Amino acid sequence: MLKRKIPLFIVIFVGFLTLIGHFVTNASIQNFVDNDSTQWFDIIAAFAVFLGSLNLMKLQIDKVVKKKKNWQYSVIAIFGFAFAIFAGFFYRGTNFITVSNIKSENIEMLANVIADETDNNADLVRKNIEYYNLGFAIPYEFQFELIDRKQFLNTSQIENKEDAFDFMLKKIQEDQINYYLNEINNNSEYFVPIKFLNYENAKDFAKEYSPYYIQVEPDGYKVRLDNVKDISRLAQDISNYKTFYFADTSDDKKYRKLKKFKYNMFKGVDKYLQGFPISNIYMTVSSANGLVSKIGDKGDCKILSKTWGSHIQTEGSLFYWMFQNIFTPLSATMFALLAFFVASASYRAFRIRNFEATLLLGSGVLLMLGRVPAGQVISGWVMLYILMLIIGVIISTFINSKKIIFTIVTLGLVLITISGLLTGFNPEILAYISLPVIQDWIFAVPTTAGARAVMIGIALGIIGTSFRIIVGLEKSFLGE
Amino acid sequence: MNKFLDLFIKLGSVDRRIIFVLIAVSVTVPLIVSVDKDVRITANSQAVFDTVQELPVNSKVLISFEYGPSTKPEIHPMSLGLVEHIFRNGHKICATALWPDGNFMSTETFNTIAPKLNKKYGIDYVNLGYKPGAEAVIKGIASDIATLYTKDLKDNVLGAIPMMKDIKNINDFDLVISLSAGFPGTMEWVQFACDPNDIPMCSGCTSVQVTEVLPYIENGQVNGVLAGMPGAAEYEQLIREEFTDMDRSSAMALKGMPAQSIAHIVIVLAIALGNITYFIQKNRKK
Repeated sequence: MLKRKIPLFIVIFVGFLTLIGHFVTNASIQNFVDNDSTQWFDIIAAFAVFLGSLNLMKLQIDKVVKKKKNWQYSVIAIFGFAFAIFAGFFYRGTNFITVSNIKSENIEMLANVIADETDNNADLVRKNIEYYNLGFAIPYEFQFELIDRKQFLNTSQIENKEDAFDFMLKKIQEDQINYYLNEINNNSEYFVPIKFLNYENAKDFAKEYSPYYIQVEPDGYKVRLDNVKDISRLAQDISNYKTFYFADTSDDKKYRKLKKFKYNMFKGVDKYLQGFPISNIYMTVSSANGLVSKIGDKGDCKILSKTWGSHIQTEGSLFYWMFQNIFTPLSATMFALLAFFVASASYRAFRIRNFEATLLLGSGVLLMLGRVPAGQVISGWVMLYILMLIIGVIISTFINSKKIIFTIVTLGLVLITISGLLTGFNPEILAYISLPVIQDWIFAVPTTAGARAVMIGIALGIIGTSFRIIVGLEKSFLGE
Repeated sequence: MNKFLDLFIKLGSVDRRIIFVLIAVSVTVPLIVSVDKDVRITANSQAVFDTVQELPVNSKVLISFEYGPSTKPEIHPMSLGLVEHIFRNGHKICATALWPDGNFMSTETFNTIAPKLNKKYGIDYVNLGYKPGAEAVIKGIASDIATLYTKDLKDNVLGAIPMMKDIKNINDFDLVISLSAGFPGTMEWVQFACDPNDIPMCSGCTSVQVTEVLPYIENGQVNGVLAGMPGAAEYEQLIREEFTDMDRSSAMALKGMPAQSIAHIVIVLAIALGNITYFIQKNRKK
């Protein structure tokens, strides 16, 4: 009872809810249809993959244990499955080397060793190491927009990420305040480059610092200040207004921005603290050790791996190797075999047995030749000759006399030849019946019409079946 | 005359291994002896090119990779051509994959093109990677990408990627391109994302799939389609005409077209030979 009624109820309820979602503009239902239901589907699909894998293994192992017909292939399937699981979940590969604590006198030698190993330009490698040795580069987003020099945090300043972050913010604010102080001091009037939330805010801000002269811009968001009471505080406040560095949690937008930048910076600091990364990626630790021994005491080497998950896409992982060297050639081979089978099957089975087979063969040949450059040189004149021969075939179904048919066809061919000779077989004249044009027409008219008919038929079938499922008439998914 | 007809009967019943050898030779020889020949540009390929060409500067394009190694010779040249064209015109690309193999194809494409044009990950392009769920994934992208993808293929949090700052869902893209070799693919993108949201769309698919896409093109739901290797070759030629500094020797599909031409001719000749033999035998039986 429960095994049947509850699944049926779920199907009917969710089915109707999803259907209604396409006709009713209600935010909750729309959200369910657009987001929640798709997330549900993802969860169910994940379990389905898991169940499918288990089922595959169960069937294949059963075949091997009972030594059923062709059980040897099942051994390969089991081995392949186990290998993919191992490469995906247990063995990352993707070993790369990082070097830290590089003394300046060792840079040249280290660059030569790395350049040799990575087949790179030694000068370029040296520049990269020197750049790394300057310290952690403050991301551009953090750098005050009006200071165009690149800034670094010295290695000694980076003991932990939080300290480095605070240090950086302090440094940036100092730079900003100095800049604004300089700007304000150099002008008798100063245009404060702040966009306020509203007119009142702008007025309050201006009053605080310039009690004798206030000019609010026509848009009401910009103010001009004179006789500023406390220049250094003004500079500090402009800096706070202009940037997100000192945002508090109540200022949601600024706070989120700050969090995002903090995340980015921590990632960068982590990367920096790891050491200078060498671009080569090794499948095994022992192969990476070869380079480590060459580097010797020129720096502190660490062998690291890419994170789980991202290792799959990285050249140098076992999974990537499996994909490139086993899966890709096998898939390509299987698909390439089609060309041979199509050729053999066409040769043996593609026969003009009846009208439908003739149509299929004719359009197939025209498409095959029309789609490739070789067919594109076949002009309308050749097609006209072929058309004349086809007319002969059609006439032969109505007239029995071979002489009459022969005469008509010959006359036609002679006429075409004379016309061709008179016009120099100019392909432009008969461009509208050239092979590519005919192929385009077959694609655009009969093929599209046929495809539309098939698609509409499938769509109607889906509507019918879906409706039967939603109203509970179709119960095959329950095993009935 | 009878001897002549007997010869045809013999030719018509040759061992299939000979046909296999003929096909192998007809494919390999043109690939070894490189023949560089222009291809005719079809309206569909031109439409795809024009759609990309007419995008306003700094547009955002979503490319979905739905193919694997088996169909790589047909579709990968399209990926390379389209990505290069989009990058050269200064647009940004967000890649997804509805097939697991698509991840590898997209990674390979970006690794080939991005360094060449000095395009930066996270700024000029993002690879969101594969998600299982077919139509559900497409619907998710259409409504809210951040709900569906919390991280990209390189394990970056989506909110931390500069390029994704202004992208919430499918409506933030100026063009969607589906590079598809089957299900889920172009049809699903039209039905669940592009048509309901009125987003311009183009497709690149295998030759056998074109018939499924054509009705959508006729209806104006898809702007154009690159059909199989010939479509890829046409696109390669179009972009090389537009950007004269592009090397023609790197055009994979253009290189493959002579091999496809000869193979098609061999198949057509085999069909003709088979039918001649069939008619001779049929007449003799009478």
